[in-house]
Amino acid sequence: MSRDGTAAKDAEFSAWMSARQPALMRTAYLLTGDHHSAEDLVQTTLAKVYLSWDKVQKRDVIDGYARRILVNENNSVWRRAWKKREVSSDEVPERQAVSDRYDEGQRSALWDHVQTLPRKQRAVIVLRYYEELSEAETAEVLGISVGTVKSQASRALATLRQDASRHAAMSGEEER
Amino acid sequence: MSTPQDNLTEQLGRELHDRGASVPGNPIGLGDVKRTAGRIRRRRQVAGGVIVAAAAAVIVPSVMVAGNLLGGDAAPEPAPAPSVTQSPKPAPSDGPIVLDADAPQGADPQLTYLDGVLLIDSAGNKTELDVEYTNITRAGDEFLATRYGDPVFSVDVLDAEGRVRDSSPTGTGAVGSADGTVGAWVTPDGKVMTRFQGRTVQLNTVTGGSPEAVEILGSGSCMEAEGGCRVFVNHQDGSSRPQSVDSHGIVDVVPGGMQIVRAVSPEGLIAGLVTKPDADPSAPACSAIYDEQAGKRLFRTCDFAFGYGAGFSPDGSRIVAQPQDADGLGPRSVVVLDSRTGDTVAEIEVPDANTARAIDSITDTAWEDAGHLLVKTDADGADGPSYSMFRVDLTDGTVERVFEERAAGGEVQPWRFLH
Repeated sequence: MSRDGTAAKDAEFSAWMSARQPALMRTAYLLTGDHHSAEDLVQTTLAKVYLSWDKVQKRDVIDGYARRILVNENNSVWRRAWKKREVSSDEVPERQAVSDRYDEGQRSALWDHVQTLPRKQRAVIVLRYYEELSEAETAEVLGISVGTVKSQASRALATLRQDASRHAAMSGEEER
Repeated sequence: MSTPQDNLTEQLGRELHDRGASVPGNPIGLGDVKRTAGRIRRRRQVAGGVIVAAAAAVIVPSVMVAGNLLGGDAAPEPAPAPSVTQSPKPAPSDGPIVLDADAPQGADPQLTYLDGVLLIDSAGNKTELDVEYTNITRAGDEFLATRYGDPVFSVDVLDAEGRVRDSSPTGTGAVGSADGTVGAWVTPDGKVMTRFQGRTVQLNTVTGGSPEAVEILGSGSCMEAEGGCRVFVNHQDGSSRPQSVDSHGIVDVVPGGMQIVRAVSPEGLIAGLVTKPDADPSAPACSAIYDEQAGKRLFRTCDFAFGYGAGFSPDGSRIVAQPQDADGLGPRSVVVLDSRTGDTVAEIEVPDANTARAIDSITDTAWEDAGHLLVKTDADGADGPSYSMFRVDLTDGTVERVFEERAAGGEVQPWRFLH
């Protein structure tokens, strides 16, 4: 690629990145649960979009393309981190503690519970209830069937409901 | 009137949006992105294409001529042999081999592997180890087993009964020769260590960050007077090109324009990444096989990348590769290439994602012999990943199930092959 071509590509990409980065950061944070991991994830995602910039003919599909990279890269990061620790440890990155300051009470507990979901369930939850994608769109992003999206979402909601009930019960006991 | 389900999903949506709103917007600049892109490309994570591969076949010979004329050191660049550099042919017309979960049951693996803390040999004999190792290789009557430690990995030398006889820090893991008689690893500060006949011998020290032993050539001994051996080392941080260290203590740059070595056959075929790390990030990352004895590159491919599991077959005639654009959850197919022509001998893939017993990706491969490949797969279920193992007979394309799907205690991967 010529130098002029690279400059033009960089300018075009920069404009897109400035507009899209905040949304990617938010989704990445919800998927990973901490700011540092989210930033790493978005940086890798942007780099992959940059690498593929010339191959994507229709600019209006780039947002969806970037989202798909983000979600799948999150799984990939998880996998690599796990492989480094594939000894007897049960630690997995998706269960990392989060120290973010936020409100206390029921909604904070809900966020805590979201972070304990298996990574695919968590991805389904974020895509369905934050990105507000349809089941079909969620299936496409994750490369799974619509039926799997339904079952993963159902399991996740059941878990969250159960955890919320347990949390409420424990809070009630403490008050007494 | 709203249902409990509605309340939960509404609450969930609000919670996620509130959480997301606290995230800073634009912390990453274009320079950061381009640096990361360069690293990704170097790791062969960029989508290649047929058009690019065809172009490369035209360009490469002129590069080879320059390298041959100007390179005066002991690490010759590829020779000017345009007729040798070939574009790999596509997969055979009879289609890919699908890892069918309903395939007939086959025998247990005919090689040594780890399963949890058990070391299981090809006859089915089990030895219980003290800890669960990340990988293992053979060095004569001993094993070199790698475990994760803090802050670095360690190599434990195990005797035939699995008892720890010695231990050493390592940057990554240990490697064993094709016949399993000599092994090697590199310490984090670059010392290239070998193990054979019950003793540890340092060959020399390599310079460059994050050294990783990738292959050892030799048999029986690494002593200079007994034939010697040669260890190939990558530098994972890209600070230096791959090096080899032999029993004379000579440290040399790996020939063939290799930027990362993935596998070396006993016959001297070197497979690895050849695209330079400072190449334009949007350029494809290409791999090649270089014949060191003949001093020429055999072929180059921008469609596939080497290093996924098995490497060269025991007879050196074939090599396992993965599609270069495999990403995310991992490759859903691997290919077996002719190691001298790059032609696709077989393509092995997991079933379609919508089948009843879906498989997500291929996680590892290992040669049982020159005609049989073991393939480990995973599937991501609600309760965590589960794993299966298949045997592919490359002589007729048939598939056997070796081990049924297993969740294996949550996140700990079963069946780690002896590499």
